[in-house]
Amino acid sequence: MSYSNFSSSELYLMKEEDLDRIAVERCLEGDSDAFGELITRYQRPVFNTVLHMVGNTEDAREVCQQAFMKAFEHLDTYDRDRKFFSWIYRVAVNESINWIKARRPHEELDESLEHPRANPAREFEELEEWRHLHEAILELEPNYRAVVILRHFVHFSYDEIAAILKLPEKTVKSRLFTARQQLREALEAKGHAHE
Amino acid sequence: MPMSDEELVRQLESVPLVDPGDFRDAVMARIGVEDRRSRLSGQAGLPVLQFKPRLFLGLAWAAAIVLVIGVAFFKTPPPQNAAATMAAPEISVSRSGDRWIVQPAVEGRLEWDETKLTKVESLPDGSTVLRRVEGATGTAEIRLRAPGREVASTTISLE
Repeated sequence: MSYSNFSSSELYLMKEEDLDRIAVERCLEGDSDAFGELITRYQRPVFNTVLHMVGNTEDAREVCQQAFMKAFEHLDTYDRDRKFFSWIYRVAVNESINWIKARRPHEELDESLEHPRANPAREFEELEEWRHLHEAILELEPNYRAVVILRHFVHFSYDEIAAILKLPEKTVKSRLFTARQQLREALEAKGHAHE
Repeated sequence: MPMSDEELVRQLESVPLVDPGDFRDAVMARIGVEDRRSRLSGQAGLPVLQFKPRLFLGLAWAAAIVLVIGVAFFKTPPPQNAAATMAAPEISVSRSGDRWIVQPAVEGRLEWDETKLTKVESLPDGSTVLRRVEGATGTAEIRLRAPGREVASTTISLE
């Protein structure tokens, strides 16, 4: 087969931060559609962050939409010298924490957290593992929960998490340490420690 | 036996991302309505959020359904062997028969629907060659992800 119809010269490189900055500027100049580009770029990882914060899909979808609406509403307060993703994640985490504080306790495992795999035995094992993990995460205090989610589910670095949560980096590390300890204890209590 | 930190991290990092569906239209519908309200009331700058979420969510869903039906009705099948195409600024997809060459233009990790596409090889220029799984039909999504963000995604036709 031939790959001759592919030409790398047709590609152009642009940093995501630049794409974000341009979209924000267009939006502030009155082009609301530019905000749609930002939603498309961030909706999936931001949704997953919110989902693990609030614990179920329906609420996560509502909280996530509210977070994007709030970001749009307050876009003029966003400091353009900072990265947009830090800001949108902060809005989403804060919105999630406000929602958690305002609601009644709700710790059902959402079906959408299940993820089918080809091997049925492995699939079952992973579902069990994820179920107990999800339950343990929901037992964490929200500020600790946020650090675990940002670090391990969306893979931010310590300094990025510090920027998102407006915390010193050492506080992020300390919270992550404590959160992992609590998770381990919760999982051991559920009998799901692995050799 | 006590659980090790490594085991905990392994469990945490094996949790897959959940696909939320596209709620861009729902949010944009709210924004659009608020934009019009602001203009009618003579307010300057960005809109102030004062709306009934469920009503506008309903309107957004209705708009999304109309859009999906419209696209499904008018869509024509793509050519079998398309030339190199720019699926998105950040990702280039080129087709040759039942294979696709995917080239990311920014740093990130490629993900695809493994029930429909399988990896053949990685090329020295950083592109990935994918092949249609036998019997797979319809469309398949290819995503480019970086830590914390969705860089780009594109849907290819397998027909």
